[in-house]
This record gives sequence, C-alpha cells and structure tokens, in this order.
Amino acid sequence: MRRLPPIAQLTVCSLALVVIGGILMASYVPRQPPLAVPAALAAVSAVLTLTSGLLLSRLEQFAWPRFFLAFRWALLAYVISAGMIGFAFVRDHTRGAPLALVIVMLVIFALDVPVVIAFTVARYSSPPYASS
Amino acid sequence: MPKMVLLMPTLVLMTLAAGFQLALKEGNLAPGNPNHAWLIASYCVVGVMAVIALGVLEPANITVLVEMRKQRPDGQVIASLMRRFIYTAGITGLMQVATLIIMIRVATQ
Repeated sequence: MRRLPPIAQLTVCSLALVVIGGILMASYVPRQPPLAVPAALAAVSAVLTLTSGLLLSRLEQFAWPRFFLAFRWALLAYVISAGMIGFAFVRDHTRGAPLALVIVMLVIFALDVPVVIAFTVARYSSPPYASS
Repeated sequence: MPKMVLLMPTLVLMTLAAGFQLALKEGNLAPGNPNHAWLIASYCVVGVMAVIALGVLEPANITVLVEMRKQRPDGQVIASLMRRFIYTAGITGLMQVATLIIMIRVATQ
C-alpha cells in the first residue's frame, strides 16, 4: 500500500480541536465566554489545517479531478452547515471578539470536513488503486 | 454524491441548531438551571459523535459509494474502509447510551 502523508489524521485532529473550542464557547451561552482557551485551540487547529493543506499540495500522482469533485460538493454542504451554526450564535446575541472567534472556528470546520472527505475519496482513486 | 453529501449534514445541523435554540428558549442553558450541566454533557456527546461521523465514517461512506460505482470495484478497498465502522461502533454505541441517560435526566428533573 502506498504511504501518504498523515493528511486525514491532521485534519481530523484540527476538526476535533475546533469542536472542543465550539463546545467551550457554546457552554457559556447566553453569557460572555472567556476566550483564551478557545482562541488557543483555534490557533493550533488552524496550524494543523495549514500543515495538511501544505502536505496535500505536494502530493504527486494523486486523483486531483476526483478530489475536487468531492471537495466542491462537500464544501457547499459544510459552508451551509457552518452558516447555520454562525446564525445560531448571532441570533443568541454573540458579538465582538467571541463572534469573530466563532467565525474563525467555523471557517476551519467548513474546510476540514471537505478536505478529509475529498482526500479519502481521491486516495483510493490514485495509484496503486487506479492507474491514473 | 450531492444528496449524500449535501442533504444529510444539513439536516443533522438543522436539528442540532433547533435543539440548541429550544434549550435556550426554555431557559435550560441558564447557569442556575439543573439541566445546564446535563446539556453541557450532551454537547460533549455530540462533539465526540460529530468528530467520528465527520472525520472517520462519512469519508469512508462516500469513498465506498465511489468505489462501488467503478466498473470493477475493489473488494479489498471496500472491506478496509468498512472496518472503520467496526472500530468505531463501540464508541458510537456508548455515546448513544449516554444520550439516552441525558435525555431521561433532562426530562425528569
């Protein structure tokens, strides 16, 4: 089996961190949440997402058409999902820095899931599983 | 692909967001409410299930569907991806039991 960089693992770790950060923020609604821990989690999560993006961009002999087919549909789905979560926070009067942090987390969330889906789909359509 | 990828996560998220709004409206999220701690526990349950579902199971599901649509599906690929469901079944089952306990606690407080 061909060894690929740990893109899925990094992305799932990044996803787990934003989920934990989101739970921390949501547990304070309707009060103002402390931002230090969620901000740190979001920062580490962003670094993991960027690292997996970098590793992904360096892949050779990869089924990119299949990757982008899955990525664009999943991105559409998770942009809608992230939008709904964001709407729930706005409706619950989250404003200022907490809202900005929630938006950063939602952007990471909306990128992580499509990346892990598209990467998994494309890796099994790439050599040695497929000739192209 | 669009039905599987687009519809299901949107429905799941709408249900979660609706539940959150209902809890807020009912006052269950207020710090002094006896249900508050149970609802935070339910967030954790949802978080664990979300990471497993979005990060492990959904990619495997979609990949199996793509594989099965190929002219000659690779049985080994399908088998290795489906193994993920076996590995995560224990955690998912445990989380569902936790959901039941939380629901009963919240309903009977």
